[in-house]
Amino acid sequence: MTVVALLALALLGSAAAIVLVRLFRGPTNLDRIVAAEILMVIVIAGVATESAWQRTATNLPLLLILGLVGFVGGVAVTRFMSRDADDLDVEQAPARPVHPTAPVEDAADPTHPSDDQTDQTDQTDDPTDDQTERESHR
Amino acid sequence: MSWTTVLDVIGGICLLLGAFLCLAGAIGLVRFPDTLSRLHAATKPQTLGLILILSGLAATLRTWSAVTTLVLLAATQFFTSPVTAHLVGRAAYRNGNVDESTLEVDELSDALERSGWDPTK
Repeated sequence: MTVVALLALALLGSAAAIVLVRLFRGPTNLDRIVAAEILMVIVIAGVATESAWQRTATNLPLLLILGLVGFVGGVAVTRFMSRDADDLDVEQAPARPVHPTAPVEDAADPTHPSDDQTDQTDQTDDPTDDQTERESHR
Repeated sequence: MSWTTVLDVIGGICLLLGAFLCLAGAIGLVRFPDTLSRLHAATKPQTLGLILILSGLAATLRTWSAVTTLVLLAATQFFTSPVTAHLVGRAAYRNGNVDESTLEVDELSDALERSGWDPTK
């Protein structure tokens, strides 16, 4: 079991080193988020391998916490990234009222173009949102 | 050859296979060209590798409390990994990181076009 665990830990260690290359080079921050997710999975796998080596169940709650924290962190940062690109464009455009409760995709929903004419408060947002969407895709 | 030896051998094989799959996913992460294909390398081999390592650990520990905790961990991994992948893919599409010439099928752009929204204007 010692040989198997050491071999598995060597494989995981080289995998972590390779992921660190992507984490360092990644052209966009999204690639870095993906690399950080993989790094978290590799850390979980390493802790699991170590506890299989020592035949102890003490690390199991640690594994669960690592998995959940990695998920929450990844989702939060990704969500922040997605909004950040919108807000960067808005800075050059006229100021746009902040709707903390409204998701970004609602304001730019292309399936309801008539909503903006009926809703007086959203009418001022309309050009900003169109431009935001256009520039975030090109 | 007793049951414990058999389970130990199975656990060792699962550990090695899982570590190898994690390495394969890491290599794919470095070699693939853009964010969406890196996402592919990130989610599938990594999840399968983690599941294999966790089942190897379960076969090594052989207690019910450990097995239930590991099943819970694997289930959360199954449920959270697609959510993260979806969010990253959505952010990549919205930020314009998707190279459309590399896509075989692009259902999202077609659906957006049919709905009357023109991203080029």
